[in-house]
Amino acid sequence: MAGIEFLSPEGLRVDGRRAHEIRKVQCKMGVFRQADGSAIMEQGNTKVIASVYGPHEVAIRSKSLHDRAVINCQHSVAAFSSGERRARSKSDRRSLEISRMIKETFEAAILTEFAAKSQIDIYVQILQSDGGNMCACINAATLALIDAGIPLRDYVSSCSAGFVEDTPLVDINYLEQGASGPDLSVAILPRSEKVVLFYMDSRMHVDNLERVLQAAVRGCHDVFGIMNRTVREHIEQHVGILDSKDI
Amino acid sequence: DMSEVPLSELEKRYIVRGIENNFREDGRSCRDMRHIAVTTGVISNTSGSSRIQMGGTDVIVGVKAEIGEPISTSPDRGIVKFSVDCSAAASPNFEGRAGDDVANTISHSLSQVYNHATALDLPSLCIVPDQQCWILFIDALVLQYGGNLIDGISLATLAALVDTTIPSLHVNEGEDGEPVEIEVSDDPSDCHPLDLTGIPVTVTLTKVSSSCVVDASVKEEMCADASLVVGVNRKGRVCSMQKTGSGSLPVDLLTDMVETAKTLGCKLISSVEAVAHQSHKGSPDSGDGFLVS
Repeated sequence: MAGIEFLSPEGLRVDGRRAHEIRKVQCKMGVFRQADGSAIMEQGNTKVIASVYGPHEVAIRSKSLHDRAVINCQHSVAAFSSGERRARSKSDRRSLEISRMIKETFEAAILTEFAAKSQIDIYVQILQSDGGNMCACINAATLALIDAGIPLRDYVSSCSAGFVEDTPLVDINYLEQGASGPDLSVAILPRSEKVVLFYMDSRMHVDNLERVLQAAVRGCHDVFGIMNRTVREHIEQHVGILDSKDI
Repeated sequence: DMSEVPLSELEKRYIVRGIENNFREDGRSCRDMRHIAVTTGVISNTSGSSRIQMGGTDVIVGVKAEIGEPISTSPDRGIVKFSVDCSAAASPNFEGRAGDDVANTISHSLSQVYNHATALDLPSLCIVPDQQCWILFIDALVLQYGGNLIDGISLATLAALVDTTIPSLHVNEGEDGEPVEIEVSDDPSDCHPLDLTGIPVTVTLTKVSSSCVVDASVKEEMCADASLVVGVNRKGRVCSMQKTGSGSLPVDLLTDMVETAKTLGCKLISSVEAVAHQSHKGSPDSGDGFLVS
């Protein structure tokens, strides 16, 4: 895009961040009473809700697995979420592809052996879209799974990274995505530093891969720190009530 | 039906007998509505938005105003496009196509209500007759299903429309042969609200045994014979009526239901509007995310 300076000479991006800074992250667990687990995740202007139902009986008997749980994921985008209003069908290819990627990411993280012959549903709904949608979906889903009490190998924390003027940019927003530079989405298991999602559908020179990947992984750790704190505060709030001598 | 709450015969009888004695499962009387929480300005890149929580029902409505071509049969009016989306987050039953069926039924009923000439001042949304007009996209997203979905959606739509502002325009009339130019004002505060004097809300009255209740919960809906959805505007005029459900409604009960709907509808419009005007959270300095509501 002509005319937009993605990285100013002083090192500031279009929204005033530095290259290595993630956007403001706010998250909350247990936002819906009816779902077994739920969470809302805001990264900058991107807002995503995740709901988890399960483990419960497999809806389609033939898909049941004898030794582990089936993970089912649906990803949908609200019509009012992006700048231009667009009605998205739940079965359009992009949505289905993202659903599949989220499902596979969590198959690596959930201890599915603990819930054989059952099904765990993960539903992510995008309310506001400003770049890093898939990453926000994965982070929201992690919190919702923790809220539902489903055993996980580790948190799954996700962040995106781009590359402009020889500098990796962490957590790119919608404007920066349109810069026709690389857009790499990564999700890791923070404690073991194992990559569970690695997705890029743009061009990038292989010499830059190392730096961009490292930037994304650092972003993942930053997001993990916030999610971890949120989970602990949430538990303190709830377990704290049980400990109270007033009851 | 819509939910997966299975009810035993005994539970049904408990609910029905309670309603016959004007005492519902949650302690309300037949004419009481549940507590409604309204917030506006929840989605930032819309022209107006709102979130309503009514019992277990949670709905977000986003309104976006875009410029487009008017319908050829009504060249001097704007267009309202209303749609509903039932998120899978509300219930696993809404995953895939099933949610679409529920959503389409509600979309269709409510879309006719809002497209009426008196509901929203459509002529005021015309920009250049026969060429350009404002198109209002009203999209409702159901996050949680706790019964009485249609009323929840219509109240959330009212709040979102109260929150909606349309940017001011300057139309340059072209000289002969030159195309007309439309300039949208750059100043974000140079905008005006919509004229909502005729806006209706729906009140659903659900017949259970021989009585009718307002704002039915999921379980009450499962014990119901039939419902009447009445669209009412602030003057107490009935804008639309629709009977839903597989049972029947006695004629004398019908007039009673419509009267109840008229009274309740007026009160709802004034209360929701008052709260919607106060509760705008969209200001960038407020620091409140969607979370705080």
